[in-house]
Order: sequence, then structure tokens, then C-alpha cells
Amino acid sequence: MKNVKGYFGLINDYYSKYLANEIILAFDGDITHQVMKAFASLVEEKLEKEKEKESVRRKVYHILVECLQNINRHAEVLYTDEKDKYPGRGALLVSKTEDYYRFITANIIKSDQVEEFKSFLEEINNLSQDDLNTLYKKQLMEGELTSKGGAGLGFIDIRRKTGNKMAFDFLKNDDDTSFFTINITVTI
Amino acid sequence: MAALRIEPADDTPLVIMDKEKEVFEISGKSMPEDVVGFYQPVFDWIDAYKKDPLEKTVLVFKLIYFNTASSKVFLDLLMKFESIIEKGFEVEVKWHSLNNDEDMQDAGEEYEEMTGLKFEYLTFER
Repeated sequence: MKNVKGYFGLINDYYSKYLANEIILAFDGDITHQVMKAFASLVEEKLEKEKEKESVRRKVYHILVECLQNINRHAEVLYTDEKDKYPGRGALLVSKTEDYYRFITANIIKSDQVEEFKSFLEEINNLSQDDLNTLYKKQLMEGELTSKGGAGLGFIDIRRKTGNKMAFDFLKNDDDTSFFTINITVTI
Repeated sequence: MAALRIEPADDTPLVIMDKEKEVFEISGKSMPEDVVGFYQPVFDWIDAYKKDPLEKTVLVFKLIYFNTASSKVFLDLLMKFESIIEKGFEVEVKWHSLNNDEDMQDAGEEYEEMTGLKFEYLTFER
């Protein structure tokens, strides 16, 4: 990989203003299904031990699963050479403030997907709760499961379940790829 | 017809499709690595069942968690049962949510709205 030496370094710089809070989980590497399950359980147990409200715990668990599955399924595999082959590679930072649990994820996507993806995220950011529910049901009815097991529902569901807008950005990585970061919050 | 039983794992639910015992249940967690592959035997079983269903099928959902990919599969599954109703048979869904799990309850209500199936809502303790 050329420009992005460590994904985590990049989110650190990019979202350093958020880093004053408690860090619950930080990871940069291959997000396999096993890693997803382990992290979801780890965070669930931690929140249970800290006697976090059940409704918040459920949301945090769900967001974590969906975020990690997004990376697992959609992060671009870069075959620049064998050493740079990272299927499902991404970074994840889960932190906590007095008011929120914050999830920041980062992964590589193909640049030719950026425009469409960006408009989609902007659209769901601006929808009301009712419209999000309608869109979710529409996608549930009309969407098809891809070979990767995606149903196009993840971000719509994250947005409607958290009720919070998501902050996101796309940074150019090289001629063909971009670095995608998103910042999702669950209100405590 | 032969019953289908899939034992639960930490990311997949218990599935029982048993015409003889009249048990049709999906319970536990659903976030399989390969969601299509995991549910394929269930779809195949329902396709065979549809040819000669019981007068009344009571479908039990008792989930503590499912991801969005599973939510798509559940709709497709419910739609298959809906097609039995169109032939004059009865299908009822007993949708269970953990106590205070409003999102699970809402999900059931969405499925009820999207399918023509009759839902009954129940709660359970972990």
C-alpha cells in the first residue's frame, strides 16, 4: 500500500479532536468474521460489567456488528503485491464520552464508488425517522442479498437506530482508491 | 416429511422445522458469516413443506439478536409462508422479544405490516 501506512494513524490524525475520551477498543487489521464476533462480545461484556443501560448496550452491539461486517464485506482488497494483500482490512475506534459511544471506522474503497456512496450517506443523513423507516422497508422488500451477504440495509439501519447523523469523509489514497472514514454515535 | 433441525452456535440460531411435531421455530442469535448458505436448507425445506402444509402453521421467532443481512432473509422466509395463506391455509407468527427490547418488537411489527401474516407478540426472559 502506498500512501496509507497505517489506517489507524490516519484516523488518529483525522479525528484527534475526539480522542480525549475513554478508548474502549482500537484496532487496525484484518476484520474477519471471527474478529467481528470477538469484538462484539468483548464490548458487550464490558458494557454489561459497567452496568450500561440495556437499550444502549443493544444498540452498541448492533452498530459494532454492522460496522465490522461492512469492513469485512466491502473493504477493497488491494493487490498491489502479495505483501499488500489485506482482505477486509480496516480500522476501528470505539470511544466513550459522557453523552455518547462513538464508533469511527476506516477502510479503503474504489474511488469510482465514492460519488454514489457519498450521495447515499448524505441522503440518509437528511431523512426524518419516518422516512428512514420507509426507506428501510423499501430496501428490505426490493433489495437483493449480494454474494457477499450484504443487503444494502446496514447504514440505513444504523442511522435510524441511533437517530444521530453520521459524519463521514473520503480521502484520496492513490489513483484508483480512496480512504473512507465514518463517525457514528450512540447517545447514552 | 423429514424434520430439519440446525443446532445453535454463537452466531447462528436454533432452527427447527418439524411438520410431524408441529414445531416451526427460529431462536437465538442470527449473524452468520454466510447468511445465504446458512438459510438455504431452511428455504429448501419450506419449499417442500408448501406443497402439503398443515391446516395451521404456527411460526415461532424467539431471537435475541439478528443483523441486517438476516433481516432480509427473514422477510423472504415470511413471504414463503405467506404464499401458503394464499392457498387457504392458516399461518400465525408468534414473535418473541426480550423484555424491553423495543427494537425487536418494532422489527416484528414491520414484518407484520409488510406481509399478510397474523402476528402475536410475546416477551421472554434471557
